[in-house]
Amino acid sequence: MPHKFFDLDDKIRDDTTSMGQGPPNYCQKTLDPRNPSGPKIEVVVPHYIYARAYKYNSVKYENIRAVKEVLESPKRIFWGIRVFSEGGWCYVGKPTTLFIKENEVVDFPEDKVFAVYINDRFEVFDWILEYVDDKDKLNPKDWEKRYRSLIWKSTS
Amino acid sequence: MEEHFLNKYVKGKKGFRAEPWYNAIGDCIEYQTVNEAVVAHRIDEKLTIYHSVETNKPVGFKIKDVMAMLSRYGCDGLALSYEEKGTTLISVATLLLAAYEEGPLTIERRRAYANALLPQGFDIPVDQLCRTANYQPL
Repeated sequence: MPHKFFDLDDKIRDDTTSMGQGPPNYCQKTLDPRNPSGPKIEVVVPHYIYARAYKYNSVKYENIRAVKEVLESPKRIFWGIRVFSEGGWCYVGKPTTLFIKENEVVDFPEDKVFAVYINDRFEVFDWILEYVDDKDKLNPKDWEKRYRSLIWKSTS
Repeated sequence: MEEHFLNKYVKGKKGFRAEPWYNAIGDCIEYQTVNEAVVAHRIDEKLTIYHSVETNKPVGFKIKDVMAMLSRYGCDGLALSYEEKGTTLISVATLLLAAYEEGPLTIERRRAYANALLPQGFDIPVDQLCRTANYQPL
């Protein structure tokens, strides 16, 4: 079903309802986890997710800026994020800044990474800070136990 | 700081509410007690405890694979639900206990699940318990 395009930079789209109406989702281009060296794909931050964060978890909402940065420039991509369901990806990166409280921004901490969780329909459903792995400061702690595989890592 | 790029697509007042929320896309229940950035501290495949970035204290949790648990045990089978004004409510505490029972009974897991079940302030000084060791019943 075709998306209905909205204004701006081609990143805000509506839900693909049969009537072509619905709240706008945010689309972000990123590496295709199935073919990281190929063309980029779009993942969606559903309106349902970001609007809820806006109303009830505003610091998390502010950190969608970090989601954007990580998807634009991931450092690691992991596959298999749940035990009881196949698939899903975790994009990990180091954004430049972080909201730690409302109206309080700091440089992104060195001992943390920022993880963006995406389901197998390429919808972002969560984003959060993670402690870094002792051996590789761009991996989340205990990544070997948490994800089924590391499928891509940046060379830069 | 630049204006948030999604501000024009949200309505109402920006804010915070400390209440459990079922994230249907992620199939998880999230709960956070403070409006701060949090770090994930993964306990097992079901439970993640949120720690405050500033204080490192536990300030919330996430329970994953909620539908899998519900379909495995059923709402009635483990008394996960009760009726209130015609609505079935799921007990988050019961879900947490069900998740706890599925994993190894370690001290770390016990502490983590206790953190999720009871907010801070439900602790008592250890010397109160020590005094009871010398307690002489009437």
